[in-house]
Amino acid sequence: MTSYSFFLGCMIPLRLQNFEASVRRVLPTFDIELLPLNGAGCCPDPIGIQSLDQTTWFSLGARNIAIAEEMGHDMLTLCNGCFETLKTTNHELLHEPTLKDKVNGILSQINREFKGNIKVRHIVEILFEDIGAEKIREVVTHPLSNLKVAVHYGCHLVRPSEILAFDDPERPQSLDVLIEALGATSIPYLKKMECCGTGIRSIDMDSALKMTRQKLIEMKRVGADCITTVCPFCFIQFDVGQFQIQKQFDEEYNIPVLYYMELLGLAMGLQPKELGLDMHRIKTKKLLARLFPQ
Amino acid sequence: MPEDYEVLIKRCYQCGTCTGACPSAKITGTFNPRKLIAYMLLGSTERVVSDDVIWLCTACHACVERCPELVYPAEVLFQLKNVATSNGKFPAGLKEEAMQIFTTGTTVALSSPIERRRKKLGLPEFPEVNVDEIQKIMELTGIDKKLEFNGTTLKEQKDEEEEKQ
Repeated sequence: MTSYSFFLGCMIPLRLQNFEASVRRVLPTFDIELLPLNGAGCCPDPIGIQSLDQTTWFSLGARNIAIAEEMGHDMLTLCNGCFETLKTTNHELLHEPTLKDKVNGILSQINREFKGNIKVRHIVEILFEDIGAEKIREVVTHPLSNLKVAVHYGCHLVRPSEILAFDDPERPQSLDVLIEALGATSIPYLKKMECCGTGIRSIDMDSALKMTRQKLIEMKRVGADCITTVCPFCFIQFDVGQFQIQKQFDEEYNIPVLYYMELLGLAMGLQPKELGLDMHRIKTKKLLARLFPQ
Repeated sequence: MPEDYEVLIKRCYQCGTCTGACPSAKITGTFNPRKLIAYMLLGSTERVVSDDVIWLCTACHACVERCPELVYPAEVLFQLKNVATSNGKFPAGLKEEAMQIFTTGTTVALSSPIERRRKKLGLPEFPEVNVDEIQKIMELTGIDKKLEFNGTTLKEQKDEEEEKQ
């Protein structure tokens, strides 16, 4: 049994409960225990809050890490945004004594301290590096045969590579391997590693949607049955974004978006309802009927 | 940790690889990291900092991966946006996000519909957030003053606005 300090963040438990449900239902199969991080808050957002003030960004992030350190386990994140913030904070504070002193000076006022003795992990890292595709293949009872998946990694799973140090920043393969382990096909498409646009969603919605649309055009061109993401921000950008794009450009894509853990859950024979698949904006009903004919 | 932006930009030889890699440059047509750095090298940093265009970086870090001179353009942009914020120039949407964190410790506030949805899916109660600690940190770093929270929380500001109307 491996135990992790379970960093939920805020978008997942408060908005996309389907992500959390799939993780909680799937991980016990792999002997993983999730321990609640009491008192933790927003990671915080690596784009918005870092843009406003890096000291605040590092300090709030370090507070979350300090709570996990007190529990003595590595931290597990389910979101690219949380991963970017917490892993960068962990890395920079470990390597920059001046920054560490500055942040610890702030944390001392709330009786906390960043020590730097745990790791920050993304769920995809754990699946790919620790568990491995072979073990995942073994738990698949309902292979997702004939399913063409457009894999979207999301920038902050792999970049900046100097800090995140997972997979390749331009041509990663972990998530493709994990998709194929479910019996599905990861289809190549142009602009695969381009940003979905969510980073400027609150600044310039029009441009953010145009970025998403560029990717959707390519996904549709290759006949993707669904999109998979491992980040709640990318998920919303594609799921809610398709509705906005439909209004703005009068184009319908109708490609369901699934969190990788939802696909894994389905392949393990879990029921769509218990995974929260009815919570998606782009309906998954037709896709499910095709995958699992009654 | 990359150096201060003044040091970073001095390595730039204007090859434009950053702009070529930039998804925002392609779509917006106005955001151009190479050009922003060029203006700064020519001494117009103030002009760049006050330009709204700097907020159009999506932070995808494609430029950081490809820059042959380790200029870290996305990091330069973060630092510039920090200076802009200190100068009192920041997007309203980001202030709202920071205030939400100041108020509840999260970017989304816990509500009874959310609690019901969690229960329906069989999820445990959302762990309590230590908001006091988060507020204290945001006061110590001075972000509350930079963003003009005026010592009020998001809820208090909203209530005030409603009263005015």
